[in-house]
Amino acid sequence: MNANLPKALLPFQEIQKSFSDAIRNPKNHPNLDDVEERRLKVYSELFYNNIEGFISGGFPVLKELFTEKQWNCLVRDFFIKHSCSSPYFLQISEEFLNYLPNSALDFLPEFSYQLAHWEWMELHADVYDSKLGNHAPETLGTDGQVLSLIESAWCQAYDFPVHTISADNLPEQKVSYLMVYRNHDLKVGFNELNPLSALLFESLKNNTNQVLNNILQDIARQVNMDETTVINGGQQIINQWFELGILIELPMDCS
Amino acid sequence: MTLNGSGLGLRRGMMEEMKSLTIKDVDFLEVAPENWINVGGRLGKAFREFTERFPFACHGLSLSIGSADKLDVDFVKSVKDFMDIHNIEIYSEHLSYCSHDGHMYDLMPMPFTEQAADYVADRVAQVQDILQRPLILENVSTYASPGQEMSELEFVTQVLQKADCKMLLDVNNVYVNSINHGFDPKHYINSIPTDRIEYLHIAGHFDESEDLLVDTHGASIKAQVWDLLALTYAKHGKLPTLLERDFNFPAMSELLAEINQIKEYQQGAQHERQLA
Repeated sequence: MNANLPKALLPFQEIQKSFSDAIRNPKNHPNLDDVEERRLKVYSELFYNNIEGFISGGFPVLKELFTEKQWNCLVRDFFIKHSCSSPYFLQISEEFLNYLPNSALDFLPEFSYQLAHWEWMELHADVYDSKLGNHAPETLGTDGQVLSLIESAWCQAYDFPVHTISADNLPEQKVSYLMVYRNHDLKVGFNELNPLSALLFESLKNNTNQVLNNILQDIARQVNMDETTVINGGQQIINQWFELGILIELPMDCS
Repeated sequence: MTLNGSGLGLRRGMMEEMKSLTIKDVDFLEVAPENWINVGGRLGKAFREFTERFPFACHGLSLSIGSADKLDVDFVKSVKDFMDIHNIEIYSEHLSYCSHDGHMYDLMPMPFTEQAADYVADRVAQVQDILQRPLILENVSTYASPGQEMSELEFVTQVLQKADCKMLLDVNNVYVNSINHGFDPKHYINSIPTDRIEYLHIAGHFDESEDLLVDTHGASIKAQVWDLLALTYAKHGKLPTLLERDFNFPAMSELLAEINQIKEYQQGAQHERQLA
């Protein structure tokens, strides 16, 4: 039982329980004496279509992998089994994402969760509410410049190349580093990163006071590679990220 | 701040078209805080541009005032913060519930019992305490009446009295329910105490069958509902009125024609009262 419900329901709350159960699961619910079946059907269809609309809007690629029957079975299973705690409509996708790893449906491919996570990232990046000031650098390479990444940029390692999946292209397992961002112009985009640029992403994201050269030298030591090669490669990546509009410039450390 | 004149619901799907509106077209806008709290990026920016130009009302969706689920205090605090940030004073919600052991994201009909009315009144007081603003309750459209022990009118007036709160009278919902449950909509509207009504909603609906109407907010306003709006003004005075349109968005000119129709009815009502 959900901790949000009282231990004992009042009589009117028992009615609410039966009614909401019947909406969630119209095929298997206790009889409601004073509600006509066609009226209950109006409710169950309105509710289901509403939820289904949010989920198919959030996960178009995932949906494409299933037959209509499987898809409806998945959405219905989510509606019946998952207790949604978020009052926010844009977070219905997140609720669905939380449900997926717990789903017992046998037709879900093993990459379902990771694909859904990837699709969800796009929405997340679009509406993410930035809390920090994000000052874009005007040029690169000024003396003592300290760079970092915009708050609305994320890099995630997936076990599958989830960005290539479609109904005609099911993936083999292969680690893929994918960056999703919303840039200074509020546009959302993504990039596939190689392991080295993924490392640079992490270092830059956490950077508070290091100039770029120091960061790249650190990375060269970590991966045991030639320093000049890493610095040259790293600077190219930084130029790309500058063009994408996802770098920020931190105030210089005056201490 | 109180509302005046006629307003329009701000929807994401209409935002581009609505950017050209000015205060001459609509007196106020209304939003569901649930769709805008913690929303940044291009949407958050576009929203701020509206709140800087128009007076706003909040019309919530997820409060679930009649639910057995515990009141979500953190959520109500977030609504308060949102209203503080955007300088919004009016907050209305549905006299309904949308969760039971978790959110279901749409409205269910309250069992019309005295115990339920007491329960809602208690929760209204809790919400008002946090919000530091009055909570205005709206009559909702329903397609079934599980556990009914009194009429909708009795239930609504009992809640308003017990909670000592104001009402958002949705004229379309009165009409929809009058068909769905077989009562006289004029009697309903005439029986609501005038001093309880804060503002009005009006919208279109869908005829599922002869005795079952669905409140879709996806069509233009029906003639019978216009008549009830005129009756409401005649009985209760020129109340601020908001047009709701949630999908099947028509050209903005079509919505503005409905807004202007509301304004005309309001002016007519004022004229009649001045003559009386």
